[in-house]
Amino acid sequence: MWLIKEVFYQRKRHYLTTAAVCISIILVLLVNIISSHIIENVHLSFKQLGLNISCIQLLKKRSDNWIEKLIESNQIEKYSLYHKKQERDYKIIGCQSSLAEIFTFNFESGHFLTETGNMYNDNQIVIGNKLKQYFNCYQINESIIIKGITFKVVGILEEDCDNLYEDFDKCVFIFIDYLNKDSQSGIYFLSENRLNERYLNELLGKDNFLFIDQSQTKDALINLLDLIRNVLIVLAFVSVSVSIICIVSNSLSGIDSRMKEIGIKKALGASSKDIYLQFIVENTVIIIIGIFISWLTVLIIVKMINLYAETKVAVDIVSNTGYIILILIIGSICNIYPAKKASEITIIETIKNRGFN
Amino acid sequence: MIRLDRAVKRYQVDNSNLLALNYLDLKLEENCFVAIVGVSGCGKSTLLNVIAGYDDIDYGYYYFQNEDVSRFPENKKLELIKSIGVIFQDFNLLDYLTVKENILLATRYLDSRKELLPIACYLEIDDILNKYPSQLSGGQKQRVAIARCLITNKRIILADEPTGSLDRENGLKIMGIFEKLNKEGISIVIVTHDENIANRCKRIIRMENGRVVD
Repeated sequence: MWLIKEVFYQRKRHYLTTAAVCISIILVLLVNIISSHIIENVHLSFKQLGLNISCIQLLKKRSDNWIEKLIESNQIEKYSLYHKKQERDYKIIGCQSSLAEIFTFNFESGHFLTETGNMYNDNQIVIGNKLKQYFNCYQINESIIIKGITFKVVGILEEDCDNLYEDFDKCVFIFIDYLNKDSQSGIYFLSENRLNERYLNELLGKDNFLFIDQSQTKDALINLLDLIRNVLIVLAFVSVSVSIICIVSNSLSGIDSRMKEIGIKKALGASSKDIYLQFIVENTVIIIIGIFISWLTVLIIVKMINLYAETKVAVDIVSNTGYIILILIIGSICNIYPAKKASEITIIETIKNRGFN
Repeated sequence: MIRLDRAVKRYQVDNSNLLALNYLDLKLEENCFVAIVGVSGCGKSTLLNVIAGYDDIDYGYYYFQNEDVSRFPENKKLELIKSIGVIFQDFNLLDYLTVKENILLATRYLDSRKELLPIACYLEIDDILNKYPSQLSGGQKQRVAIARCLITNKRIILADEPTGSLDRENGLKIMGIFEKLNKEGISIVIVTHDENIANRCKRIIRMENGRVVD
């Protein structure tokens, strides 16, 4: 009771300091809780979305007539043109010649098998709908073995993914010969004759697409959110530090105005250690009260969000407790100096200062 | 009980040395009731600060219960401070504590304590225990300060101008209390420049330029 009285009675600036500490701590906790919630939701959304196809990002469109030129060159033995049936642009379907014999499917009805070596420089593959059933492969990142070669499935084309089809149809071809040459671009057709690489290179130009795996998109997004969260937490900690500096400055300036109190207590038998502990305890109490009020406020805010925002924000006790302990430690360390200064004041100094007479 | 031999205390004032205690000799017996009188700046308050253990002498000896205080380590010096009660002209009560809390404040740093209520009744402050110092008269405040000394069973009370801020009636009341306490065996040393107050003491010590002259 005395302690609370000593901390708050006639020291109105303590209220302001406590308020500043509260706001800063609320900031830290809310940043942590809300950003964790967002990151968790991103994970969940990707999971619920269930799109097992890689995203193919078009960088630059190739010239419109490049495929005609390729066909005219007579280097292609087999290819498929869909545009006649579906009134679409070219639809080229290809696979590695070494794999071709396993396929008994009618390519022209939409099966798709393309190797990709785009990101990881290892055997990767995008498969179409029927191959999905053939290999019983419904998840990306699964492995399938074709003619003794293991491929990691990085994308599965779904029947209903019209947009993706279109982009893919128009723009993306994988050139198997380039797979081990760090290339992301290419075209492969069933061909007995080897394509003139140089000619093809001239025709295709530089890579005009990127394979972006779903998990890569998710990771990129989460990394970005993590970065934002960390920056915000650092900013919030800066705010906490400013509040703690306020307490320290408050304590230091308070020493002069508390000369009388220090003098009286020392004259009554208080040791330097007693005064030191009193200052430490007082400032720690302010921080603890700040933490308590902040924690309560944060819980109320989270409750309100859960009630009105149709979302379920969870409070991670462990990480938030960690932050609170960190704040408490920083606060306690910062309080050592003013406490030491106050404890070193002698009775005679207080008498000479006329605080105590 | 208290003995000072050739005690010297210097202060630096504007680049010159001021001898507040000038080879002062003093002996105070058990259960004494002494007034130290003298003009302002003669060293009365410095003497009181030295006896109370608040300040050290620069030269000479200060014996308390036949022990040389100048050789006391910090913890023993703290014991000396704890064993002597000091009453000041401005009462030195903490404004944010009630009368009761102000009196009991002394017990926070000491093991031995007496019952509050008999002391409060004795000093006629039992009805103001829950009031704050700002609600009290000067006489009441000084009686609270005395109660703060008595609660921890002090056997020596030093009073620096205890009636300086009081009117005559209250001043006499406080002196009456000191007389009663002295009869009960408590040693009282009063620093004053009021001859009327000094005349009520059993012994008067006169100081001049940091020395005892009479």
